[in-house]
Amino acid sequence: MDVLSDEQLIAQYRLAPAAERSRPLVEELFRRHQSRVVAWCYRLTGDRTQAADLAQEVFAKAYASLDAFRSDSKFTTWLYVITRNRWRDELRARRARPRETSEASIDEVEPTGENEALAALEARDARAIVRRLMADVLDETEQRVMTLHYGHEMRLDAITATLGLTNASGAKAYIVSAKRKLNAAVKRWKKNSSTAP
Amino acid sequence: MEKELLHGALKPGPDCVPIDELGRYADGALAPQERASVAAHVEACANCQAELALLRAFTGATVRDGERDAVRNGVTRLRQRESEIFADARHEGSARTKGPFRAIRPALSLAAVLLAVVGSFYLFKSDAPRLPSNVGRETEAMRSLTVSVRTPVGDQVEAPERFEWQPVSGAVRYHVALMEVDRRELWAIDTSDTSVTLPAAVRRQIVPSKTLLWQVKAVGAADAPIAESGVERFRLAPR
Repeated sequence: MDVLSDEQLIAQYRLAPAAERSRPLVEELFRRHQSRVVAWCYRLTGDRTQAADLAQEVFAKAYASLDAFRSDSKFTTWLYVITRNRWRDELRARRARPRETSEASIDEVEPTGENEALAALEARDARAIVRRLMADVLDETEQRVMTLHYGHEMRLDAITATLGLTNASGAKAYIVSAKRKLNAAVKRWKKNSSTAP
Repeated sequence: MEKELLHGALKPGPDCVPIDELGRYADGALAPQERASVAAHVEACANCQAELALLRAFTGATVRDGERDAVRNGVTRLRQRESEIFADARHEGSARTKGPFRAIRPALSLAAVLLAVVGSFYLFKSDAPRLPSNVGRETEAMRSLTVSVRTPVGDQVEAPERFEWQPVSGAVRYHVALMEVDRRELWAIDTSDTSVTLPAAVRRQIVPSKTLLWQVKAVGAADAPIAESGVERFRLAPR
């Protein structure tokens, strides 16, 4: 069994009629990925109990959905999609519980700073301008951290852990630096816009 | 105000690629036309690039030093709860509810506990991370798929003098390549160290605003690759 790939294990499992399927095949499959999923859940939650609970939900969902696995994809990719979606469900559920709102909020460790030009952008222009200026002035990691934090509402500590950032302040340092650069770029953009004929 | 503005500006758009499709794109499982369409979107979309970065981090994940205890604890708990996992799945509407295992569930639970005990013995009998003897390909990959690079990554104030990365267990040498953004190789070297010094002629090619790529591949005793880094980007900051 240990020489079979993940996808071959699933194929063997599916070959049997539903009532006769062999759970050891699935157990073998899942055990190959338990460390990966628990580590990822720990990076997302920062808490070992929550990580174990989330990982349990992930594998339960994976087991229930195994018939939906498409054999042209990798099992690891499919497992990631389940993990990501379960985590997002969990975040939505937390936000719906008022007592936990502050815990799930992206405000918790929000770096503050004087970015007046950025803050004064008109909302209707912001999407196009911010995205264009980000591509122009931010490095890849800064763009990624900004997008995950503000666009995907990921907590900074989760971004630090999932992206494996090794600098002292993790994602927070990238946010501070990115906002500073972005604010300066917005100022230049406003100046150029106002002097354009 | 600033937070709301940035959220509105950076949240995924309606044309973003659904995560399932993005995963199939990453696996090379899309038809050529579909793949070209997704590639064009991803090239210009920070949201989809970020999703792909997380996916790649997950598939290439290795357990880090600071998380070993938490992972060990989580895996033990998962193995203790295997019966619950399969039961939970049945609650989600699986057709397996009437399977033959229902009648022998207590025996399976006992077996799961025994397996957890045996597995834990193999996993944790020494300080070094160990894996059960029946591990498969993916478990091996979990241990050694990724080389973690140290520097350079992102914007640099000076042209970097060295490339540095974390050692990989079992590596006898590392192949390091510096590339243009189109992956054309500019320079490559093999070393048994975990850093290399860039020759002056190579450093002269690192000019402001020009993005370059580099990658490290760890090669094992059988002269086969055992791990590789992501393709890292860096550039000398614009002056």
